Amino acid sequence: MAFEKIISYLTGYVEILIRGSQPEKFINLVTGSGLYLWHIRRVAPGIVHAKIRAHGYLRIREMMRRSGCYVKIHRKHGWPFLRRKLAERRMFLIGALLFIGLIMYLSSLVLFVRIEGFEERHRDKLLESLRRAGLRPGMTRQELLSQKRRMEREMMLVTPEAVWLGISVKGVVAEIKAVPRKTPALAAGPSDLVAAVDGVVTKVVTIRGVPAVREGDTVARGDLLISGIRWHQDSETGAMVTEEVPAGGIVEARVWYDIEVIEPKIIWKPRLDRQQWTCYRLRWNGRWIPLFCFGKKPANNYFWERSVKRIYRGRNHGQGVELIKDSFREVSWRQVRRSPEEIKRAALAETVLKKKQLKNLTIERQMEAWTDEGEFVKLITTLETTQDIAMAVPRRKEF
Amino acid sequence: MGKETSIGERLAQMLDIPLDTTLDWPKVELTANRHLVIENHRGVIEYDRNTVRINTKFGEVKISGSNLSLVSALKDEIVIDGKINQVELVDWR
Repeated sequence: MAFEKIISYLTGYVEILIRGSQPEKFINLVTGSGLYLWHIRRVAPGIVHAKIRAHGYLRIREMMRRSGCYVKIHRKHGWPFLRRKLAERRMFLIGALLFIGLIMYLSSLVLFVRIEGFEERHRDKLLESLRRAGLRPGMTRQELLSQKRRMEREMMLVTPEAVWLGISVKGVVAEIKAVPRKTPALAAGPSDLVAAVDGVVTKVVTIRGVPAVREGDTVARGDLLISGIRWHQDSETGAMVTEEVPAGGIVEARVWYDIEVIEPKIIWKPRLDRQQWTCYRLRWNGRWIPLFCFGKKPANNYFWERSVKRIYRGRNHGQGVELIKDSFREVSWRQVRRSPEEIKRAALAETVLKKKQLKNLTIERQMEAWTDEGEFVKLITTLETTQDIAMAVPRRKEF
Repeated sequence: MGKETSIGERLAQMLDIPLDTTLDWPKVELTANRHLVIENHRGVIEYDRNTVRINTKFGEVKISGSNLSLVSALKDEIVIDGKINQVELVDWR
């Protein structure tokens, strides 16, 4: 039906009003001659409304005479009529083309600059910096996209208030997303700084409070580093009195981390059977449609592999059809004694994985200790680093 | 009433060919009470908003209802829309 409508629009069609005593005869004559009539409705006694293609209308004169009906065009539709109308109204056509051109030109420009995730007081400064970097309303999208990386880098340099800054273009809006730098808030009440981990103190910088350790001291987790008290002279009596404050400062220490890995000498290894059972199925909208299976089905202890192929969905919503291939292979387990090289390689690989979990560490030294423990091999890797170990805790009353 | 079958009909049945395509028999397809398609018709006898009468090789098909309209009319197919209350085969042989 949609195809018919498109064809009718392209070739042009007319709405006609058939008046007469025998409109049925007229309909039969028209359809009998191979012409297409649609949307036939009786609108009043003796009047039938219908649609016919433009070239068909030119052939119905004889049928009108034979049926004794009188046919009048009610409305004209379709591209041929529209084209003729547009040819007569040239200025309208030029105006429409200019309008489309203007819309296309305006949509290729950046008309608005929007900042997200930044405090109001920093926005004006950021906008000014953006203007200096070349980002302003009125520039073309193409120009912005080609200079995006440079602008982002420049903005990062001149905006210390942001830890990250990204520019994206959405339609005619240039969106600047900024992640503001978070400075830790001062402790609300009096607090001490204590050691977060064990280590040997290498540097002490006191901002507020009294230091309790010196460089070279060995501290354990929880030991006091900087006490949250301040000495000052009483203005009335002249005596030295203490006041509780939130302690502040940097206490750097040499810290060691141990990574322990135990590797067995004998392991269980799977051996896959050559024969496999493969099943192909289709999945669409939560429904499974089995296609075909072949091979020998394993009884138990099997290795299962699934591959899914999807049709490119493009802009379409909803789930597409997926072709799913399931392969099952029987597995038999056997004990294998690993060589020393294999054990070493596995232990080192696991150490690397565990090391990745210790984020933001600058490792200064690394030591390895291997021990043979019967059926196992143990590797202890010691990592040495220097870091700030100070941790604020509410002030201790007994100090 | 004796059952009369032509050679063509028997041949079509034997070869499992649809009768509406081989012997030009009318085919009436009704969807709920809203949409009716008649294939292999022989013209419109009467068209009104409440009644449509279509001629076929075997007799007349009378469709009664309300707000009936001919959605499309072709040489061998007519589509009727509207609220259909009754489909009657009149004087069928």
